[in-house]
Amino acid sequence: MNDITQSADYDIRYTRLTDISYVKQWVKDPRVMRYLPMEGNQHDEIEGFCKNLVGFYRFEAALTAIYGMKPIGIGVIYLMPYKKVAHHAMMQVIVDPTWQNQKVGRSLVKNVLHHAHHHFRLEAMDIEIMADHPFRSVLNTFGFKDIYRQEGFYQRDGEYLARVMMGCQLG
Amino acid sequence: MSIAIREAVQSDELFLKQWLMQPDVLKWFPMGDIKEVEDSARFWISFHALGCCYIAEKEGVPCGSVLLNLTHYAKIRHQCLLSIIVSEEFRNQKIGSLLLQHAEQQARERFGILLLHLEVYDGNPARRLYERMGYVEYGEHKKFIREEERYQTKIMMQKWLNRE
Repeated sequence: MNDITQSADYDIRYTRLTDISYVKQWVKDPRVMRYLPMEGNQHDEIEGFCKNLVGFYRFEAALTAIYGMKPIGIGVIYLMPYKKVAHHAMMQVIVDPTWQNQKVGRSLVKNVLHHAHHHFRLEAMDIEIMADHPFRSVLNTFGFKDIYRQEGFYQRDGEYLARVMMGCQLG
Repeated sequence: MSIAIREAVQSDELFLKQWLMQPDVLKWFPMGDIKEVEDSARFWISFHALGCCYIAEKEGVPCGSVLLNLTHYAKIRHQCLLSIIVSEEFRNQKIGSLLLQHAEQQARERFGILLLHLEVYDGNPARRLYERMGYVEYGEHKKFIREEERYQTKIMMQKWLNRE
């Protein structure tokens, strides 16, 4: 596996609102869409999903991976809206499909977890993910474990698929 | 004693706020203060536009609500998260059961939902009602709630509507 995160052209910065045009392109790619709850013809839902995702830039809770100044991935901390649950959060990571398998996702997870712990003082991070998502094994290397599994939550290509809530303690 | 269930209207937001602010109700929800309750009540009642939010009335007095959190996302629109609330003074009067029955019927017949699920905090007596109504635990999320260094577990339950 090529590791572009060691390149001088690679960096992580706070997400900007203008990154949304890149995120929309990635999300519409079938290789990414396969693991999201929408379908490719749901234009309004895709628009809403991307707006919500990138919208966390306002709280400095979204990080963008760039290569040669161009966005190639995003990692978002979905901060919880209520104090009783604000000690943990969910995250989402999406990588430009043309830059996958080059350790960008791994780099985003590492930075998101560090940011969650040191900037937001969170105790734990969760991620909701399809049971057959290949990224699950990467998450395991960061200490993520399955919290619960709900069979039949997704319906993709006529088949039921489980959602898995994974979580890890921070710090 | 007649109990009727109707679709919610915008002005029911006021009742939701009142019920959520009852201490023995609020402790089973993630909200903690009036501002959070107002945000939550606004979100809850916003679903009335989709016809998936219902109010129970006992002798004309609103006393509880059930919400089907419908989603348009294609891969998950066969399932739905359900939220339910009953005002303190109307507990143990079968209102929760009637709200659940109504929500299940609407979910199945009107919205084509196959899988209903809900979340309940450990220790909430409402869990017995959910079990009686056929909801089965599929997981738990430890330390989901934190209040003054005390943690509470969230229990996840579900019911397939097409497997009865």
